[in-house]
Amino acid sequence: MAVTPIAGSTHDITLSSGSTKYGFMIAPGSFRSERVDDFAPRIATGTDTKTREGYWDSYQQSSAAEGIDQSSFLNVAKINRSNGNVFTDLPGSIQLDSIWTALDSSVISTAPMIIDFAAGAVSCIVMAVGTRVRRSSASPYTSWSNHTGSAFASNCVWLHQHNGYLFAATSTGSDFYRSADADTWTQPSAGEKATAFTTWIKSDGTVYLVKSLAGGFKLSTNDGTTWGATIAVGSSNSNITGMRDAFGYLLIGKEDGLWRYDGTYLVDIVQYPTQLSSTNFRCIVSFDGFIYTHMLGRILKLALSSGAVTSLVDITPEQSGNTEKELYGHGTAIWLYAGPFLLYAALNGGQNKFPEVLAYSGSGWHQRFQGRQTELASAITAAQTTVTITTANIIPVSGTVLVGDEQMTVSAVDATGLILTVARAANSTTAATALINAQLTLLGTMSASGYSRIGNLLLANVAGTTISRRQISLRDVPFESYEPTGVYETSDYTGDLPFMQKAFRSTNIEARGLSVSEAGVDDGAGRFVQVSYSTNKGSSFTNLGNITVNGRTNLPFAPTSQTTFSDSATINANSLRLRFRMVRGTTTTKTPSVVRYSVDFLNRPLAVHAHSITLRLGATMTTRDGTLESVSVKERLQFLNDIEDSESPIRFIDMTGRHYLVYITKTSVIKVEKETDDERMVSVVMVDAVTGLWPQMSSGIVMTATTTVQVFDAFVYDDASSVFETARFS
Amino acid sequence: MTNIIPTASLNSLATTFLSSGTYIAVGDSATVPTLLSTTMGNQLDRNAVTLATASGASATFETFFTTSEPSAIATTTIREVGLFNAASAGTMVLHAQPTIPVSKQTNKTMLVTIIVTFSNA
Repeated sequence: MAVTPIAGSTHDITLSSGSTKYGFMIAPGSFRSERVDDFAPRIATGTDTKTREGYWDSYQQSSAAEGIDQSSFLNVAKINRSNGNVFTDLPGSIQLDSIWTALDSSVISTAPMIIDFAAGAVSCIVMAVGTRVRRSSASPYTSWSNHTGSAFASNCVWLHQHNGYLFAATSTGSDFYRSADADTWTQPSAGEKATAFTTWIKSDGTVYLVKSLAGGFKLSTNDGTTWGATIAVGSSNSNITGMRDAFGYLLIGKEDGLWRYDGTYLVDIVQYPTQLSSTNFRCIVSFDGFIYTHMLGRILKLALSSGAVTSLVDITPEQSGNTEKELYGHGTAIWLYAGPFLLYAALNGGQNKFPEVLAYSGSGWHQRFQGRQTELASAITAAQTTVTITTANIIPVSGTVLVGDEQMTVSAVDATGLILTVARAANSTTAATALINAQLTLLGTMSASGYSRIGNLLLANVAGTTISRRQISLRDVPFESYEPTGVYETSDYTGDLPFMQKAFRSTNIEARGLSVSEAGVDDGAGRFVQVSYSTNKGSSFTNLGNITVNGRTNLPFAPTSQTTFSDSATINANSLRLRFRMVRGTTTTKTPSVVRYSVDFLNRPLAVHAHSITLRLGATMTTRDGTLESVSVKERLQFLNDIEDSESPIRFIDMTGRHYLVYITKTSVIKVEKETDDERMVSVVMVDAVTGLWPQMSSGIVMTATTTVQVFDAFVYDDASSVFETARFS
Repeated sequence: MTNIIPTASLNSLATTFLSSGTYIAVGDSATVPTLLSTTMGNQLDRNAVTLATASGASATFETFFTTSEPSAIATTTIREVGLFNAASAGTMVLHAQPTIPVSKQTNKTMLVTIIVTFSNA
């Protein structure tokens, strides 16, 4: 080739394969480039709006009634997470849950259950604290006291009410104790020790008190005064961990399996010899016709028919999204118990750090408690970027803090005390001095938990403090005394197309119970919902603003025009997650509620273009720059034949200099006009070898300017060189 | 894909660039130069370039400000420097800030150096 062809300069277009490049002139009007990926008809089949392209669609959610732990948006009734302060059970109304109130401090339960004891005139909530039973008998149950009689000889590990008595098992350290008032205790049966109790109603109607010790159990029909012979259960190298009656059977949990006893026969239901653990099957709950129990970190749901397992379902709540969630999930159950309509699980080690309480509705798990949510306040000034909060063992929730309504980011937390390094937004409008409200989680160990029917309370003993959440009488819904704040996050919406870019325009949120300010009732903050979004699956959030008006509020994702290539009012991302932070205001009896939200989005599949073009090949043609074509028709035809079969993509450069990587899919050659000249018309169809716009060739140049200014006492001027000398004179 | 500007071409750019700036201006505005800057924030004085030389991919411009300059520059703090193609007005070829503001007192002279280096992005 005599000259190097340049598209748009020497020739109309060029085609190149490797380092071989030819220029071509094209027939006028023959170039056509068309996008050919008919995305919507190819994938969507009518009703599935989320996979359409070409116009704006929306997805919406009006319920989280099927709970949490859905990282990717699939079920419209589930969300990703809540911090335990949000009540997510009701469709069409996600609201603050009732407040966790501290009832008793400096007590660590030694038995996993907190239970009611009601007999005669006595009605109280009881828990075991070392060698004492601790009781509270009057609402709001903030007054607790140890039993006044003699202390037990060893720590209490199990409490159980049977008939009119409260029984306390003290393991092998001493004989079990019995009390009719939870205050005065006796040891009614000398030499009888126990690690667990239950009440069994045999199918013939006989009511037994059952106690276990090591690998066997005993029955009593006279409230523990006398006992029958020990009935050994299974292998002697595993101990009984818990017991419960169900369907006329006595269910017996051992370290390595679950057994049933009908008064005559002992039958193993499920066995887990490999998973043997002292915590297995400690709690067995018969609820709503099913048996719920736990094994290692798993929560199991069993159905029995004629004493045999007809189904065994692992209902362990699973988490995903980061290493801690995937490795540890919500942790290991220490106790299961039933409320009026829900099953509750108290757990330790959620994400390897959180004590938690979860509620199971049959279709999903709801977060009732995670660590201890609280808000600590500290003053911050305009010049400050670091705030020190002195409470130990706390972590910031989701890495955000608030100054007034302004969201800031905790960029670092030191390892020892707690110093939050707070990044103030560049466009901060915060007053010179403001109160920084850091939402924090207090970690600790869950020691016991339970539901009190007499107090309508969810109870937990965490980090040495007994706390309670009040509920409506005999319903699992919050009493109208709400948490100050609560946070929940939706699942990451990908439209089932996780790698396809989408444009997100705005979100519409319907909320109620809001108030900018209720004169004489609320402070200026009122009740509002702060909305943030994340396009990186929760790594960081951008604040959209606060919803303070009841009804529908539209929040655009990019409220200001972008002065780039277009005036865009959208954000582009593969996925979108919303975070709602509900703020109660000062009126404790009212809560904001989020009814529903919708998000407008547009699928943006990567484009595939087809290019059709007719090339003119002639022996005596004039090219664009006025010179005669120097390459023979034969040579260029041979090149076109070669590139049609090329395994590698061809580089096609059009008249404007735009580069495409293409495959040639169709070529047709015709001989035209002058019989005497060797002139051909070649139609070529090319299809993009890569989807989306192929990165164009470019090379940037960095021009770095350095300026220095030096000051001298004097200077000289060198006539010879006509330049100033930089010598210093002093 | 690798795209580079060869060293020889970068060197040529530096040499060519020497002719684009013939005057150096100084000012005391602390406003950060932007892509839309066309004038100095607050120009105090402008002198012809006394030395313009290229070395490798770097073009160097220098000028002196003497004690006989206008009174505005006698005692001041230099916070901005500009490279122009005319003694007044003209096109601002470059607008930059010294690393730290330079305090100039009466009876002091001042050497201003601008080094422009070209490299691959």
